[in-house]
Amino acid sequence: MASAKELDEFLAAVERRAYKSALLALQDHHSALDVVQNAMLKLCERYGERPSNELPLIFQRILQNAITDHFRRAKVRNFWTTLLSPFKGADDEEAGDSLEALPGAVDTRPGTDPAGMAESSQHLAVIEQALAELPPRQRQAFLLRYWEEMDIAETAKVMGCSEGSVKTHCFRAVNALSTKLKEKGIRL
Amino acid sequence: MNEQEFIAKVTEALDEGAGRLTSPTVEALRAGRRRALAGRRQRDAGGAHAWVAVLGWAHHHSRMFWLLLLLAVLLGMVGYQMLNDQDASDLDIQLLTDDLPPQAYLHGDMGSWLNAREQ
Repeated sequence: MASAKELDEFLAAVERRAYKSALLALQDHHSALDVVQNAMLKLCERYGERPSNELPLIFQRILQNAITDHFRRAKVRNFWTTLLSPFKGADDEEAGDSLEALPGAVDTRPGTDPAGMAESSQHLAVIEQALAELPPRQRQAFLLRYWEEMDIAETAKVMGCSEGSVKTHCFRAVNALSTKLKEKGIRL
Repeated sequence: MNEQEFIAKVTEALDEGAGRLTSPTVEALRAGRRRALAGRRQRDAGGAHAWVAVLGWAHHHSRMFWLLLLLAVLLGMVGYQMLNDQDASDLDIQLLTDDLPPQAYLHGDMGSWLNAREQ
């Protein structure tokens, strides 16, 4: 059973990555924060007594389910909003589309080397934008497999699909990402 | 650049991005974590309080506590016995309704006859 200290350390280690993953999927700072906070709450409430080595898999599963649920709710909400307000302006739909415009996305405070920081921030924004543009399943597979460093079986468990599908999603994600970055003139 | 190097560069950039979150975002995440952990502590404390309350009650009403404990043990034993009786009666029914008379099972060559029949 994970102690309170172990839980705290685990959450402290994953919370930033979890937020970024949610932000890439949801494209909204507040929604991403909500999703991560709810996932942390759920983990502590329902699975806090599980051994600490099981926490990463459980947390990722909760997080991914929360992101999917958020999409579903947003879809239903959008349906009713569209139905009830047919004269809604087109400007509203485009607001907040850019990942760079999100308040929590990148810290743009001046650093020690402004030129280097600016270039690095630009590269980072382009990479994140390219990742955000990937199909959801490809992005999910890429982030879980390579950023969260899960093996194929664990990724398949979290995504609720076969190991073969994970391999396909990862392969396609890497190819698509590489093509997108080349198109945008980014050399890694 | 091969695939592994490309992936390493992308994840490195993602790590860098995660490390550069604005302080309000970092603070909001920390607050969320503390809230989640506080909820767990409260629940644990709630469970501990329930045990303390039960033990306190047992201390003040020791005679009643032992009586209830004895009753629970007795009920458990009766339940266990009833469960075993049910199994035994099922076996009796199977034996008595079988074409083979129960005395046949006591016969010395019953085992070898059954083996020969299976072959």
